[in-house]
Parts: sequence; structure tokens; C-alpha cells
Amino acid sequence: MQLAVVVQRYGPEITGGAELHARLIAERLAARHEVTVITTCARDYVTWRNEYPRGLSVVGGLPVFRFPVRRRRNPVRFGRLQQRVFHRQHSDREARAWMDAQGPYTPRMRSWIGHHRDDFDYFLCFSYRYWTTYHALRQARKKGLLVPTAEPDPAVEMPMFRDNFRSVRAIMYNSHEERAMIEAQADNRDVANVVVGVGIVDPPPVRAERFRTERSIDGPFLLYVGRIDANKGCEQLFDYYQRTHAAMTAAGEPPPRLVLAGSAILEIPEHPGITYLGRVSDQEKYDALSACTALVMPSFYESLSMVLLEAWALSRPVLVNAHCDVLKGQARRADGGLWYGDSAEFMESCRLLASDMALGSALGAAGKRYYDANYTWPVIEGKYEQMLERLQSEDRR
Amino acid sequence: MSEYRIDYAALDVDDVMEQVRDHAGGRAGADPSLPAVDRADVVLRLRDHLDLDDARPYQLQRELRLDTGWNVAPEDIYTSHPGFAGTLISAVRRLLRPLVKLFVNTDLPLHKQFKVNIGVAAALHDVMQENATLRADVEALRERLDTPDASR
Repeated sequence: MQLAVVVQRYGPEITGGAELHARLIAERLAARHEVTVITTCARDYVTWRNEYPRGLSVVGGLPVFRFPVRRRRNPVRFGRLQQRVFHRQHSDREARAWMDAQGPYTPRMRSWIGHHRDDFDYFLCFSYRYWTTYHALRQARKKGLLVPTAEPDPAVEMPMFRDNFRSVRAIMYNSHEERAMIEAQADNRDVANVVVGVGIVDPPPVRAERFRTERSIDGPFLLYVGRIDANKGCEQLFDYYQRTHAAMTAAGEPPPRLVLAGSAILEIPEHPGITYLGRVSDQEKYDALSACTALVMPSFYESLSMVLLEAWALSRPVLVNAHCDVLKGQARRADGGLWYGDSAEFMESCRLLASDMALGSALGAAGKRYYDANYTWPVIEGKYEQMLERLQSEDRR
Repeated sequence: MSEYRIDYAALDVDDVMEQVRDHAGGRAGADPSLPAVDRADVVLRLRDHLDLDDARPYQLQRELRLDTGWNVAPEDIYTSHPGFAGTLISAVRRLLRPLVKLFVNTDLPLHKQFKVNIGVAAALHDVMQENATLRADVEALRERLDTPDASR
């Protein structure tokens, strides 16, 4: 089949979120289909500044068509419009103005897709909320497939997206919670769909001891991997961890350490129990994951956490924020981790995981079984292939 | 931990979490950095703020000097649809309102939300005031600690 993958940014330097998700899927689908990537020249998701050259290039063996972003994002205007459309009654015109302000505003891409619609069997569009996906789905009409990567934020409730959720040919959800949320908003249960998610890059051989020796870390520790940002729930994590440390120390129990890996946007508190590694290599990340007592994921908004899958692939348990339905749902379905809704639950979970190694092993083993059954690449690719074959057989009728 | 009953061979995280919550509840107040909280008092105060049956929210809005533009209001839907069509719809609806009100009060949910929002704003206002008072108390105590001679 001729498949187009539409995504707001694309490149090997973009190592997170829906863009990495799109690249991994595109590269896997390319083994069986002719895949073309349609994207923008932007690399920075805040400004959408054009950094890549426009036109055709090859990335990871795939042809990539890049279109220039015509307007950079004006954060003040965008913020004002977002306040309006997220929290007040608003008109369609205001919603469209918000979409244009959010970007990446790429009218040439829109018209190109309109002209070349017949050159492709299907358009696989990532991230429902961006300008590129919103308009690509409208141009693709019945050839549009959506990977929403939706989080439970006010954008998903905006009426402007209901049409797209209802009119796309099929939706590839990241989680059962994401499907329930979108179906509740758009009443689109009759649209073909499947809960797929994404696989991960196969972890290399890991050595937990190497990490402990090189970083001089003894005893139990919680590991956080990712951007250290208030938006990722890290502020609350620091607060809960410091309370836990104080309470366990006062009770004469050795508290687990909190080890952080990733770029820091938020100020990290000076605390004897907190170790900040900075950005680490993939090898060190996997070594740290295999060595940790549990991976902690404090985010309130996630559509799918890849680092959670990486922890389970290495048979390690997770501790997640109960206020994120997706994370809690995954931990629950997998029997692969615990969750916390407040500081007392965080404290008690830390205490339990740090003292009961058998529980950590049992949770990790259950997580690994869940990962093997749902998130290995053969499973993911199989779900995509089944959906594409189903749509193609419907088209032939 | 000996006080937990966990079947490692047939793990059920819901069961483990239930035990975690029981223990967390049992240890409430064990956190030395937190004062004990009278939950019943908190609930009562919140209910007082969110009372929807009287005119107090409007009074609160005036007391707190909140700009009316910040809150949701039944008129919002028309102000966001300017132009001839919006004005026309608004006028027709205003004309029909007395008749419609005989059957159903369509503004009620928005009025309720309007009041709830003011109640929440008032509760936040109280929390911030309380926080400022506590911070002043902490500062005063810290000063007393830093200058032990002065307090003798």
C-alpha cells in the first residue's frame, strides 16, 4: 500500500512524544508498504521556526516531504486565545483562530495533500490537536486514519474536533482510557478503532551493577526519567519525596533515594536524598532502569508513557500518579505497579517498595508479561496490518 | 513488610493498593512536616462557600472585588457570537424568554456554575489569607529562634 504519515515535526533529533511515536511506526510500516512522511520544516514545537530545508529529503531510509511553516507561534496571542477557547463559551471562528495560532500553520501542506490525495491509499495522521493533522484529515477525507495521542486536557473537549473524531476512517488509540475519553466527547463508537500504542526500541544488554558503581548509588532508589518539568508533575514529586524522606528518617527507616535523569526545566531542590544525573545515554538509562527499585512517573497528563513500557520490558515495577487515568489504568491492567493519589499514599508505597523486594520482583514480572502481550513490535505491527487490511477489503467492496 | 498480606504468585494490585491506602490512612499525622487536619471542619467550611441557595455568592464577588469578566455567565454565548446573526438570535431569545421560562429555566445550570466558581474563588482567597498568616507566624517564630537572648 501507499501510506502517508503526517506529523507536525519529524527527525532523528526529536526523541520524544508523538513525533518519536510517528517515526517508529513509519519505519516499521515501511518494511511492508511504501511510506512517505509529510511534515514541516520545524524542529522547535514552541516557535515552529523553520530549521530543516524544505522539500524532499531522506530520513532513516524514508522519503520525507517538508513544508515551511508560514507563521511562527505568537505565545501571547496563542495564550490569550487558548484561555478563551479552553475555559469559555466560544465561537467556531475563535476556535479556528486558536488552531491557526497554535500551528504549525502550513497551508502549502494542506493544498499538497488535497492535490495528491489519490496518490496514497491512506493518510496516517498523528496528534489530533495540531494544525497539520486537523487539516490533513479534512483533505484526506475517507482516507484519513488518526493516531490521536490525546491527553485529558480541555482541548479534547473542544467542539471543533468532534467532526474529525467522527469522520475519520479509523482511529488507532494509545490506551483504553484514551478511547473512553474520546468516545465520551465525540460519540464516535461506530468509527473503526483499535487500542495499539507503540513499541519501544529494543533495550540493549543491561548491567545494573555498572550503573550503581559508576554513580555510587547504594540501596533502594526511585528513578525518574524524562523532562524535569512542573508540567510532568515533578514539583509534586519533589514535595512528596521530601515529606517521605523526613517521615521515614524520623521513624528510623532508611528512605529510598530519588534519582533523576533528563533535562531540567524546573529547579531541583538541594536535598541529601535527591541525585540528579543530567541527560544520560540510552545505555545508562537502561542500566538505571534495571537497577532501580521502581520507576516513578508523576505526570498528570499522558496518553502513553514509553518509559513505563521500558521499565516493564526490563521487569521493573512502576509507581505512577493516580490522577492520570492512563498511567493508573496501565499499572492496574498490567498488575505492574502501584499508584498514589496523595502524599500519604506516596509515602506508604515508597515504604512498601523499598522494603519488600519480593513485591517489586512480582510487579516487575507481571509488567513484563503485559509488555510482551501488548507492546512488542510484532503485536503492534500486527494490529496496524489488521486494520489496514480491514479498510482495504471494505474499499474493494 | 510483615503487616501486608500479599500473594506474590497471583498478584492483585487492587488488593495491594487497598492495603496501602489502609496503612496510609492509619499513619495519618505521622508525617512530622504536616499539622493534623480537622477534615470535618474543612468539609463544613467548603460547603458554606459553595452554598447555592442564597445570594451570598454575589455578595462574595463584590467583597472579593472580582472583575465580572473572569466568570462564566449566561450571556457569554451571545457576546462570543458578534455580528448581525448573533444579535438577531439574542434578541429573539430575549423576546421568547418569558414564554420559555414558563416551562424550563435554561439559565439555571450556568447560574449554578457561576455561583460555584465564586465559591471556589472565595475558598482560595481564604486559603491564601491563611497561608499569609501562617507565613507571618513562621517568620516571627524564626526571628525568636535566631535571637534567643531577646526572648529571655
